[in-house]
Amino acid sequence: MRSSFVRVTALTAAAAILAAACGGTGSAPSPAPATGQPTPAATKPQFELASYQYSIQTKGKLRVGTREDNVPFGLKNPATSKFEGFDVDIVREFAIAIFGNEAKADPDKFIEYVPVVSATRIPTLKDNKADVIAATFTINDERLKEIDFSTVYFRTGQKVMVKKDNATIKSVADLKDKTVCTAKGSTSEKNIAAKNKDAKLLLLDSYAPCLIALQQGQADAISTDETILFGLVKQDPNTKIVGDYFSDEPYGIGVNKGRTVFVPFLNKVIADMIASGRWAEIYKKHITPVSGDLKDGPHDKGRSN
Amino acid sequence: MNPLEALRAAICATPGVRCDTWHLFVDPNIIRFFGEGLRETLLLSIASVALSFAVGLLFALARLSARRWVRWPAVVYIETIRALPVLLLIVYFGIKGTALFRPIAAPIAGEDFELSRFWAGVLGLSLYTSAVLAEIIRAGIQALPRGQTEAASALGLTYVHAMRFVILPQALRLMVPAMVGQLTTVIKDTSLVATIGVFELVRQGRVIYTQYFNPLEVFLYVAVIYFVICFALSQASRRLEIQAPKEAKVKIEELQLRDQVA
Amino acid sequence: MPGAIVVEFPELFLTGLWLTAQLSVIGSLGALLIGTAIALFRISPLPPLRWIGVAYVEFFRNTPLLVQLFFLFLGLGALGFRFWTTDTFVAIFRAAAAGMALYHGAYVAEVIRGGLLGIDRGQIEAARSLGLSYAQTLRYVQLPQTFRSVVPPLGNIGIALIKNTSLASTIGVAELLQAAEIVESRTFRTEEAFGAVVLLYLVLTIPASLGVNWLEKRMLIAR
Repeated sequence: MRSSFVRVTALTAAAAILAAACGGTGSAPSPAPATGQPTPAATKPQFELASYQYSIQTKGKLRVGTREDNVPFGLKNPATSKFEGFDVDIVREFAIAIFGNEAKADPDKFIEYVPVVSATRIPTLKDNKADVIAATFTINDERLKEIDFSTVYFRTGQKVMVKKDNATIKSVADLKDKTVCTAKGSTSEKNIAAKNKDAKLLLLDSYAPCLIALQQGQADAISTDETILFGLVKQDPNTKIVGDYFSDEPYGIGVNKGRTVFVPFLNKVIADMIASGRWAEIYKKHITPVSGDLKDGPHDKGRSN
Repeated sequence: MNPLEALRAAICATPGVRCDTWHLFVDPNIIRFFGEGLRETLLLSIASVALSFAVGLLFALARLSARRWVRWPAVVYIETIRALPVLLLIVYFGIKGTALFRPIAAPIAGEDFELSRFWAGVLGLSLYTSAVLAEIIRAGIQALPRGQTEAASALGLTYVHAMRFVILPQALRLMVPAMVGQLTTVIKDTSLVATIGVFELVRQGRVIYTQYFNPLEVFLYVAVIYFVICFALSQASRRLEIQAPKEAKVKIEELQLRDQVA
Repeated sequence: MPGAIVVEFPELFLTGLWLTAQLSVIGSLGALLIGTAIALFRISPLPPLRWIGVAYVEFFRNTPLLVQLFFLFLGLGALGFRFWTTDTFVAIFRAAAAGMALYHGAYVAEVIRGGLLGIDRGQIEAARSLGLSYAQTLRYVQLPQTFRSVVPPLGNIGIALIKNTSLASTIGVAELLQAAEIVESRTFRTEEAFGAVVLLYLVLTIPASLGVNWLEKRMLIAR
C-alpha cells in the first residue's frame, strides 16, 4: 500500500516538474532579441531564457532602488508605508511589462523596494542589491563608465521660482539686479552666474532658509534644479516656477553593465508608455500639481495646465 | 480684557509673530523630533571632546618637550590651528573628508567609502578643539609647582610614570573648570555642523520652520534649549573652581577668551 | 606658489577681505560699547539694572552665535525688520555686525566688570571722600585704570571676533570664508582655495595674537 502511494506521488511530482521545465515560459533563443510582449490572453509575457527580464520573472520580484524622501519622485508615505511618486509609477509599468496581467492589479506585489540615496545608487547596482535604479538619476559620461542607463524618461534642468503674485520675473533674463537665493557650492550657483551676470546672488547653505527669505521678501527669487523647486512649491503653494530650463538634466533608469537585452526591453516599455499616453498620465498625477504644466513626453516643452 | 490678555493680543497682532504655532512646541511628536536633534548634538559633542582630549594631550606633551624637533612642530600645529576659524575647518572636512580618508579606510570599508557628515563635523571640530585643549593642559601642567616634577624624578619614576601618576592627575584637576568651559563651547560649536548637513538641533529646527513657517519661534525655542544646557554647565564649572595659583587661573581665562568661538 | 589662486579671483577675495575687516572693526567697536554699558549695569546699585546685566551676559554667552545670527536675519525678518534698509545685502551685513557686537559684548562686559571690581576699594572711598559723585568716580578713577588692565583680555576677544566673522557666511555675507567656498565650487581646487583663505586669516590673527601676548607680558610685569 505505502509503496504504491509513494510511487504515485513520486510520478506525479516528476510529471509536474517535467511539465514546468518544458512548457510555459521558456523558448529557444531566436536570432533577433525577443522582448516581452504583454498579450491580453497570456498570463505572463514570454521572454528569451538568456534575458535578464526572464530571470526577474522567474525570481518573481523586480528589485527597485528608489528614494524614500523625495517629493514628487520617490517617497515612502509614512501613513501607509507604501512608496509613491513619479519614479515609482514608472517602475510599476516595468513590473506590469515583466509579470503581465497579474501585476496590473497590484504591481507592488511583484516589486521589492530598496531605498537609496544619491551616494548609494551606483554601489547598490554593482553589489547586485537592486535590478534597476529609478531615483532621479542624471545620465552623464562619468556614470556611463560604471553602469548603463535606459533612454531618457524624464528631462529637467534649472529654473527660477518666485512668489505667486510676482509679475515682473518671468525668466532668467529678468533676474538682472534682483536678489536670487541658491545653495552655496551648488552647480545652480555656477549656472546662474554664467547665465546672468547681473543677478545678485544670496548664497545660503541650503534651500530651506532660501524659502523663508523668499517669503519675507528678502529674496526676489530662488533658482536651482526644477526637481528641488518642486519640493519647495509643495511646501509653499504660494510660489510658482517660471521660465525655460537653462541647464539640462536627463534622467535615466540605472541598470548594471552587460544587460544587453534588458536595456532595449526597458527602452521599449518607456516608448510604449509615451505612445499610449500613460507617461502623460503619470506626469499629470505627480508633477503637474507642483509644476503647473502638462507634458506628453520627456522631451516635450510643456504647456500650461 | 485684563492687561495680560491685552498684552497677548498685542503680541499676536504683530506681523510675523505666529501665535498659532506655539502648540507645536508642546506636541510630543515635535518634542521627540527636537530630542533627536539634541541627541545628535550631544553625540557630536562627546565624540569631539573625546577625540580632542586625546590629540590635545599628545600635543601638550609635545609642546613641553625638551627636544626641539618634537616641540616646534607642536607649536606650529597649535598656533596655526588656533588662529583659524573653526567653521573653516568644519566646511573643509565637509567637502574633502571622504577624499582624504578614502586611502586609509578603503582597505577596510571598501572602495565606495563615504565619510559621514557626522564624522566630518566631528573631525573639523576636534581638530580645532584639540589645539585649544593642548594649551589648557599645558597651562595646567606648567601651573604645578616645580617640586612635583623634581620629586617624581628623585623617586626614580620614568617620564611616563611621572606623567601618568603624578603630574597629569593634578594638572587635570586644576583644569577641570577650564575643560567644562570648553565643553560648553563645543556644544555651541556643534551648531556649526548644521551647515554641512548634519541633523543636529539647529538643522532639526530648520525642518520644522520650513514646514510651519515660524522661524522666529523656532530660533527662540532652540536658543532656550542651548541656554539651559550651557548655563547649567557654566554654573557647574564655577562651582568646580579649585584653588589654583593666580597665574594659572589668569592664563586659563586668557586662553578661553581667545578661543571663544560660537 | 601658495595663495596664487587669489590673483585669479581678485574681486571675490578682496571683497571677502574687506567685508571681514569691516565686520571685525564695527563688531569690535560695538562690542566695546555694549560691553562697557552692560558691565556698568552689572555693578550698578540699582537691582533692575543688575538683573538686566546678568540676563544679557548669560543669554548671549550660553547660546550659539549661529542661532543669534539667523535670528537677526530671518527671525527679525519675519517681523518685517530689515535693519532700516531695503537692500538685502546691506541688511545681512548689518545683521552680522549686530550679531558680532551683541555676542562679543557679553564677553567684554565680563572682562570689564572683572577689571572694575579689581580696583582697590580704597581708591573709590578716597574719591568719594574728596567729593566726587558716583558718575565722576567712574569716569575719572575706575574706568581709566580698568581699561589699562583689561586690554590683553579684550585683545583676545578681538581675535576671537575676527575668527567668528566667518559665521557671517552662513547668512550670506560675502566675507572671506564664503570667497573660499565660491572659488572651490567653481574650480574644484579645494586645497588652493581654502589654503589661500587660511593664509589670509593667519595674516589677520597671528600678528594680533603676538601683540596681545606681548601686552600680557607687560601687564604681568606691571602687576
